[in-house]
Amino acid sequence: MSTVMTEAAPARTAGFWKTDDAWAVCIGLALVALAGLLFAGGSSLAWLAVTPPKWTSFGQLAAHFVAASPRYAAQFALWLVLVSGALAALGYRLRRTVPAFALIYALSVVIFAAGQWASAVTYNLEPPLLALAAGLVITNLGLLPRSLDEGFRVEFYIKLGVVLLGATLPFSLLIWAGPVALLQASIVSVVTFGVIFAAARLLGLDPRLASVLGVGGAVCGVSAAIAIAAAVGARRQDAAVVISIVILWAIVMIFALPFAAAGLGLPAGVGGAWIGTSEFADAAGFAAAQAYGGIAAHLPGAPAGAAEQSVAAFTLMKVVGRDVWIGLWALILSVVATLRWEETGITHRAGAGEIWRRFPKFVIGFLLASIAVTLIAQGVGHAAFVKSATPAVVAPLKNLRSWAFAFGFLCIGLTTRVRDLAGIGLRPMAAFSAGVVVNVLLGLALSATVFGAYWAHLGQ
Amino acid sequence: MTARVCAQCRYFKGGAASFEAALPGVASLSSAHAALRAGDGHCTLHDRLVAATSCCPALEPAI
Repeated sequence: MSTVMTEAAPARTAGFWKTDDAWAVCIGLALVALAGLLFAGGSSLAWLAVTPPKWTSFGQLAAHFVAASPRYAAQFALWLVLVSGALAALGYRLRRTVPAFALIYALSVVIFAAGQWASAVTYNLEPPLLALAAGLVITNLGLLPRSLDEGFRVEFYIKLGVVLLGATLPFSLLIWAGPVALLQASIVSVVTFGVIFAAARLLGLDPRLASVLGVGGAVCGVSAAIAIAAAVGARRQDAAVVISIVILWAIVMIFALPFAAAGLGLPAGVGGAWIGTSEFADAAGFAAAQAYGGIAAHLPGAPAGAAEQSVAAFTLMKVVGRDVWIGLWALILSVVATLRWEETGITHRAGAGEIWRRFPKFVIGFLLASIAVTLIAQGVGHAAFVKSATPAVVAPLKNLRSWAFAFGFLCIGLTTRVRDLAGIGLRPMAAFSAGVVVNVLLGLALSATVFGAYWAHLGQ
Repeated sequence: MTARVCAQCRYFKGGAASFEAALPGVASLSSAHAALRAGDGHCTLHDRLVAATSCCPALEPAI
């Protein structure tokens, strides 16, 4: 494969409106705008953004659902319209997405309620872990038809959750914490990529496969793997192998990292930063970070807002520190593939435009949501924001974010069919695993010691 | 009509459904609709993933 260093000619690239980034950004920002407008009019989105409360008896929980049934019905209708509309625009059929979403919503209510049980923390019943486990069991027992997969769009729900997450993080926090996240993520990404690539080459693997393995572990998991596989012209089967390895490790890490962080007694922010450094995919990482937030909030001496701190640190590390640089990795590796690796007969026109074309556009929605709520805070003043805007604007958006993430976590399990995954191969697995070990240890050292004080006090 | 880039070639499969079918597991933790895919697809002639803007001597216009 050779690369011509020029700006790519316009081609039949996927239109923006055919990406889940576009609809996640539009829906997320529309909800932020709606919350802002209702607040300006003296009302609130809180009625619609209902979630199950903490409960100690089934009677208490049943009474809540009876009393709040109109709110849940309205919320379901809103989500159904937004989700099915977006998925229809992406080309999915309503007769499949509507029942699929109804199932997701019903399961999410059950999982949300289970996580709110007062004794849930005693049994480690963190909703993200419950959702993932439930989804894996349901789909791998073959209890659902594959046709419902059209509504199980993990990335769409997670990206929507990330945009809504932006509305709960002050823009000043992103500016203050972004550079440190970027520095830590860059160190870990480069080292992890180097270890995986070197190990893969030592084991005799093709350099294109080695590079796809490397970015799968170092940047953003499956998304990075498909982007770099195309940029360097990797074999389809090699990309499939990497995808299988990333999924396997990502699911292991969803369960392993929160409990390892709890075992080490890490503060929520430190645990979130560690997960952001060491998880491979956004969806898996948000599941782990939210689960650890729930665990860390109950650790002795945990500050108020500990649960949010974990998710915030994760987001800064993973989304700001790692994800946004995938285009740069693609550009560099496509040039290296041309100059150093055996030709494939395919010419890739690489240029600086690659960085923007591969930019994860949902991040723009995340930043805009943060700016919008920060402007509201500046407009009403700090005291009024804490007293009135936080419960009327931020809290409902946070609840809606929790729903969007719940849909996504459930869909990870519902779409992961073990028998569908490609054969993994010992050498690719060994190379990737070497990177995982280095990544986890280095990420822990940086999160807990080098930048430990910083992450422990994030946002305080 | 001649094909100048892979996206215009008969061997190029760049639709979301065909992309996810070629790579089982993609939809579990990512998506063929992700903006970062940037129109990439599967070249069924070389059995490789390629960028929409790539090209090769075997390009043939899509029918």
